[in-house]
Amino acid sequence: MNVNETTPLSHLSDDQLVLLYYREPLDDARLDGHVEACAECLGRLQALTRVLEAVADEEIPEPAADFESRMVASVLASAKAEERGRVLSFPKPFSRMARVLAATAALAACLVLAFTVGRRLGREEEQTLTAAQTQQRLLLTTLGEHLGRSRVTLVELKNGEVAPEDLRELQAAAENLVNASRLFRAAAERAGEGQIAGVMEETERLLVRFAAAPETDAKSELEGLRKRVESRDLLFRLQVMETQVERREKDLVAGPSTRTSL
Amino acid sequence: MRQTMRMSGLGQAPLEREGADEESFRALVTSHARSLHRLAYRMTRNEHDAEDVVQDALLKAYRALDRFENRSEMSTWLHRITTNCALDFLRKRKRRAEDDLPETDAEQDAVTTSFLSTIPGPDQSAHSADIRRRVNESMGRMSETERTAFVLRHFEGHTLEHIGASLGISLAATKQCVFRAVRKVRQDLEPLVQTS
Repeated sequence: MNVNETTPLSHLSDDQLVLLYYREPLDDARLDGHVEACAECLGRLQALTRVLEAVADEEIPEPAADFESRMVASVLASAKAEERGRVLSFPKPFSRMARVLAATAALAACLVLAFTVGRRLGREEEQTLTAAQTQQRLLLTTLGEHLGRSRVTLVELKNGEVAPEDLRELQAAAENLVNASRLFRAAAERAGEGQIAGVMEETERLLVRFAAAPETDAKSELEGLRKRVESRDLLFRLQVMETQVERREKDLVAGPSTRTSL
Repeated sequence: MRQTMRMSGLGQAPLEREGADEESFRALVTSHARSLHRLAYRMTRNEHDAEDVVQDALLKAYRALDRFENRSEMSTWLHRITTNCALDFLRKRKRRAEDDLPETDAEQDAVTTSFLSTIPGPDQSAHSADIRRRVNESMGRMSETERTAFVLRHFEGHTLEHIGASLGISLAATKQCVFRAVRKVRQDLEPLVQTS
């Protein structure tokens, strides 16, 4: 029944009963008080109420006792990292990762430079094509490498046996990967690579929680990180993305006009 | 770190020191985080996703705290930010699901089952577990807009007019979203409620 077609003598429509349940005004003022005088509509309203009250009774899982402290730690750590752009020093066991990330930062700088050069060369059509191809290849190469590094780091975090004394080092490594990832994600977004940027953002989101956890919560956060990586198939998705990037890079080398879309 | 933070919603004076700044934020999180989590869970139907949404929302709130001018209550403001974050999250999740769209109905069913089976829950009676399962199914069949409108109307108690303004749609469209959502809930829950 259409709301506007209702007359004072007819019964309320299901939609009108919904409005009544939520104490929203009915479109037709003549219907005010109808339900009190109509047993049929009252019965239907009671049936609707039973259903909607059952929804309201649904039990919601409560987060763990340390939920608030974890939220505070993550948010403050993210905010501080954004504001200061600080770079942590790497502990010895992760110096290899540190070197990789330093190279990452350098590549990111190259990427920014390539974008700038590409724009300047864009004045002449023929040059634009060359510059654009170079720029895209550089982008794909660096993004592919970063995706690979992210995947390897997640595998290490996910599978490795971690002694309590190593947790802080792992957190530092995770934080540095997040910082590097932000640079690459910005580049990917500028280049319109939304899907890659999306996976990066999700990876960052998971890592930042572990990185920001206070010492007492680091172990449980690492467990949480592992579960999330598992439940979201993040490793698989990173690998798929990496393979696609690699294929596009090969297509680009094979022929300038071919482009495999992600 | 910002030098001042106006948190008039909490009745606090501008704070100058970083430590005090963090303490104020900690108080805000302690007061509101669990109700934000409930809202986020209702929209995402997944505990991990809900935590991510709350984290995002709190980070956004933290960045914007010094612009908060007590135009509305702190709680309302935080719930609005969380709603927007959850809506963004649902849209991203939908895009991702579309990218990985399975080819057959059987695969689609497997994905749906897999999605629903990832929703953990504490020990509870068979009846409330059944209700939760059916609510999940109904919510899963709603569009993001329908789900948001339903959660805001049903659980948060927002008026339809307010929901329409939040979602950027007309009052008539908001009503239709809620009507469609309620229809889906009724289809799934009515048989269960009638037998109980």
